[in-house]
Parts: sequence; C-alpha cells; structure tokens
Amino acid sequence: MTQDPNDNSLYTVTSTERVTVSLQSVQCNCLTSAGFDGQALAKQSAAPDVYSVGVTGNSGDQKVFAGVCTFSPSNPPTAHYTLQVSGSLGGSFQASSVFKTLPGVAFQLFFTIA
Amino acid sequence: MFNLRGRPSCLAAAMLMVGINSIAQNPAAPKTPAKTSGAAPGCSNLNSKALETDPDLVNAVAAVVAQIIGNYDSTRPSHPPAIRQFWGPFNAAVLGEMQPKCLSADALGIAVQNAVKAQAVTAQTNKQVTAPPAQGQGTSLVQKVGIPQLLALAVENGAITDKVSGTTMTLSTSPYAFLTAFGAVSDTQANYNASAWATHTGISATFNLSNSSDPLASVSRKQVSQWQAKATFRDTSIRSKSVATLYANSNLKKVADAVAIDLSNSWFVTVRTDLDIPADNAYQKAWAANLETDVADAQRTGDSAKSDVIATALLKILDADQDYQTGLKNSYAQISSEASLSALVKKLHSDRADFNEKETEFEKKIADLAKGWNGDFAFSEQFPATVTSTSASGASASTTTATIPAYFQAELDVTCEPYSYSDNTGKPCPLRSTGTFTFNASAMFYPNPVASLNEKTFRGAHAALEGQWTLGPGFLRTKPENDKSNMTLSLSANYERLEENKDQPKKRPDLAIGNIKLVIPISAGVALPVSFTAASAGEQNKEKYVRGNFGITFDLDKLEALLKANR
Repeated sequence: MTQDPNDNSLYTVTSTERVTVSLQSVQCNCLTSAGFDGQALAKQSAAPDVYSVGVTGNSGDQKVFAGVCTFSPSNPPTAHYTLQVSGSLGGSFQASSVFKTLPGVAFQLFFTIA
Repeated sequence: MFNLRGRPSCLAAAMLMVGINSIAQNPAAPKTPAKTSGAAPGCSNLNSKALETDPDLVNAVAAVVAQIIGNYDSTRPSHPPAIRQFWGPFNAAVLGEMQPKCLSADALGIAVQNAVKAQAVTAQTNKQVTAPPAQGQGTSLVQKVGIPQLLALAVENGAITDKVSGTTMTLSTSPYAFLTAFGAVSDTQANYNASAWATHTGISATFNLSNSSDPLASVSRKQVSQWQAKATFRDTSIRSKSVATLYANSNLKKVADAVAIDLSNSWFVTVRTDLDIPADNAYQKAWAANLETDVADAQRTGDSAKSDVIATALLKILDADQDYQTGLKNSYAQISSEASLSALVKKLHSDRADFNEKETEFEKKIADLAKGWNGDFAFSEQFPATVTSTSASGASASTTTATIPAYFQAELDVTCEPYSYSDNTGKPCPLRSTGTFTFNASAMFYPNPVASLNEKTFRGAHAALEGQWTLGPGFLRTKPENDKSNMTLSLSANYERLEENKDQPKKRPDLAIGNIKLVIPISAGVALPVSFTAASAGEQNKEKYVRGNFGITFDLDKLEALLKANR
C-alpha cells in the first residue's frame, strides 16, 4: 500500500490486499461505524476500533471507505480520533485526525487498485 | 447554484456555524423559534428556508472547519492541513439539498445551546451551596512559595480541576488526569480502559478562600478545611466501557452504520473528482492569502468567532472557484438524471437527520448509565472550625475559643438515583420513581488523642440516611422559559457517636438529628428552603432542640444560565 504524498485520503493498493483502518479516540470514548464499497463493516477489535477489509477489483478501480466518529456533547473541544491506515502487503500511514463536530463526523478514504 | 458571490447578506449565514453546530450537539433542545430574516435581498432565486429547517449543510461546513482547525500544525504554518477526506461528506450535504440555496439563518443555534445549558443547570437539585468549616493550622513559608503558580499550571493543563463555591475552593484530581495532562500517558480510550485504578480514584482538597479574586492564592496548609482520597465503585463517566457497550447496541450505531454505508457508495469516486478535489484545491490556494492567520488564531485561542470567519471564507472560496462550480453543476445534473443517485442523496440526507435524533436518545441513555446504585470509599482528614463560646458572669463576660483537633475519617457512601429515561418506575432504587437514596457511614480517629480532653484514638462513628424526592415544578404557574427548577422534599436522619463526650458533664455521646426540608423554587434562580430539625443533643452540649429554618437562596449559576438562554 502507498499513500499519495499530497493527499492522505488517497491510497494505492494491490488487488486482494487487505486494508486495515484503526480509529483511536483521544479524550473521548471510541464510538465508530464504518462502511466499505456500500457495505457495513464489522469491528475487528475495540478501542482502538479496527476495521479490516479485502480490496478486490480490477486495476484502476477506486473503492471508498467511509467512517463515522461519534462524539458526546460533554467531550472537550480538543477530543479527536486518530486514523491509522495499513495494508497487508506493507505500508502504514497516518491520515488526518477527526476532530469533534457533534454529533458525528464522517470521513472518506479512497483506495485505488494498482 | 451554490453561489454566494456579491451577496453579503447571504454570507451572514456562514456566521452561524457555531450556532448550527450546537443544534447538532444538543438535538434534544427545544425548537426555539428562529429569528429568521427571510430571504435576503439578492437571494431571491435561492431557497433560504431549506437551510433554516435543515442544518445538515451548515453542520457539514462546520465539520470541515473543525477539521481544518484541529489538524492545523503550528510548527508547519505554511502547510495547510490535509482535509480532503472531509470534503466528501460536505459535498454530500450540499448535493443532498437537491436544490441550490442561499445560506441564510440566524443565531438560533446559540439560543438553543444556552437553553439546554440552562435546563441542565436549573434542574440540579443536589448542588451544595454551603462550605465546610475550617480551622487555622500552622504552615511554613517554604510550602507556600510557588504553589499557586504550580497549581495554575496544573489547572491549565487539566491535571487539576478547581471549583469555587461560596467561600471555599475545592481542588480535585485523579491519577489518570495527572498522567494524561502532563503527557506521561496519551489520553486514548485504550489507555483509559487499561487504567481503571487511576480513573476510579481521586483526591481533593478544600480550602477556605482568603482572596476570592485569586482563589489559587488561598492554597496553603493553613487554609485547608479538609482533604480526601476517594475510590468509586463504578465508573459512571462518558469514557466508561459501558458507554461503548451501550453504543454498540444502540439505534445511534445503526444510523451511523447507515451513514457510513451511504458515504462508501462508489458514486463518491465521481463526487471526489467533480467536487472534493476542486474544493480542496481552492482551499489550499486561499491558504496563504487569508485563511492561515484565522486558522492559527482559532486553534490557539479556541475562539468560535474565528470558526465563523473561516467558514465564511471557505464558502466565498467555493463560490468563486470555477472548477467547483462546474463540478457542482455536473453533479446536480447527474442526480437529476439518475434515480438511484437521487435516492442515495435523499437517503443520506434522511440518515443524517435521523442520526441527530438518535443521538438525543443515546445521550439520555448515557445519563441513565450514571444513575442506579453506586458508592465510594473515602478517607479524609477534617480540620473542623474553631468553636467560640461566650459566657457572662455578673458584669463581666468572657470568650473562650476551643480548638477542635483534626481527625481522620473513613467513610462509605452509597447512593441510588432511579433511571429516568430507560425506566420510569423507580428502578433500581427503593424510593419510587423520583426518589434518590443516599447512605453514609463513617468512623473517625484522632491521630494524636489528647487525654486531658478525654480523647481516644477512636473518636466515634457516624451514619446518615437521606431520601430526596422531586415534586415537580412547584407552585409557580409561570416559569421563565428553560427553567427546569423543581420543588424537592428531603428527609434525613443522622446519628453520631462521640466517644470523647462519654461521661462528660453537659455532653452526650450519642447525637441523633432528624431533618425535613422542602425547597420551593419561587423565581429564576431563587428558591425558598423550609426545614425543621430535631436533635437529641448538640455536639458541645446535651440540650435537645427543635429548630425551624426558612430563607431565600439565590443561585447565581442558574440565574446566569437562564439569562443567557432567554436573552
């Protein structure tokens, strides 16, 4: 897996590579949801919440990972989630953190199959 | 057309980012009527009403602004934070409106935010307004020097919480707060879960204030009225594991899943090309021109007004960017021509609205989690007040001051507050649906008993029981909007055994006190407490007494909250 040097939401993966997205909450409880390519993803483990999915398709295809991070009104303004993206064939990257904007903040990551 | 160019009155809408965001924070808030200005001149072709009834889009702008500010790296000021992963949800909100609009709204959000705060503050019935007594103790200058500054640093870092109430200030902290505030441990949920001992324990110290304008300056050994170490039996904070379990099985999670599924639809690859990338490019181009200073200021100061400025600037940027406007036009055309896309954006729009609603439900369930049975074990050292008594003999009168020595106290507290949202039958408590039950038991010890005062190591024991019921709004026919003050009735019984009073003239070792108290709210922040107390004896004499008290209390916190809310 590689991350676009100018765009940390864009990744290039090998077909059938397994992608893992780890969401770690800071100063707030870890309450997340995720979807990939129009399907819900189940959490592999909690706190940090880890989602894992195999990316399959043809070369050039782009797949979308979407996440929703939930905050509570009583979380401090600096509460956030850090995002770690890694591939089963190597590569681990940090994406932009998700900061509190209640009640939930959604984000997208894009995976292009090499 | 998402076009704000040359329409300053429309741009005023962007000034409401914080306000609209607060709607999202408090979806349970009452629907305060918006002070709408109607379609502003120059916006006649646009649909301002759509936004006023649906804050989805403005929430989305606020989310983008929050990510820009939050991800800003002050050590690399020339680099705008990468936020491309957040433009998609923003653009989904833009497209979800299904029609162009003018961003016109008002300060509704701030009004709602204050309203909710006022409701929370005025609904409190357990606020302690009296300060514990204290007694002067010796100290050294060496201990005092530098302490206020160190404390100020700790308070600023969040390691210590300070709470000023009347003439006292309580500083409290927990091992976890200290570890995380000074960076020894990152305050992640994983670390929180692994640090149960550090989150279930805490220490506090209460000081008599000598200078209310600078409370921390009163922090000295001499001013301490008590210190306490406490361990709670159950974590009732929003960080507890039970909140995560509740979320996993909640309707909120289901809706969040639905939003995530919607946003992971492959159509967003096209949205990314048409809108996300142009939006991010436009934003990056504008960074050096005007955004950087405001973003840096917003992160440094936490000033929400700066967020409004940034939001306004972003909308202007997108309004002026030809690539973005072209992409918007293409996307609208796509949605109009493809039923599946139209259905998708409608569903996303609906799911996001549903999310706000379910979030309200979830917060109420979280509030219930903190209720039920709980307790703590506390160990404290008390520094009682100096007792002054005056006696008259013939023409002369003499005043004697008795110093009650400090003593240690080991205390068990048990409380039960019934669930109010998930169950209205009073479960799991014994006192019906509105009754809160509290029990305290303690044993007291003198570290240095003085034989001449009949003191022994074991000072005595104490037990107290209280039931408090909420009786509704009281006799007030009309209350200020958002005033949730309630009339409360409490019954309490208190028994204390003081070994040093045993076999002492004019003193009784067994002290029993019963109290009934009714607090009637009579106006905003003003209440009339009426109480009757019967006692078997006083601590310093053996005379029985029955006493009635009434008065008027002013709660400035409640008053301030209501004034803000109803402004």
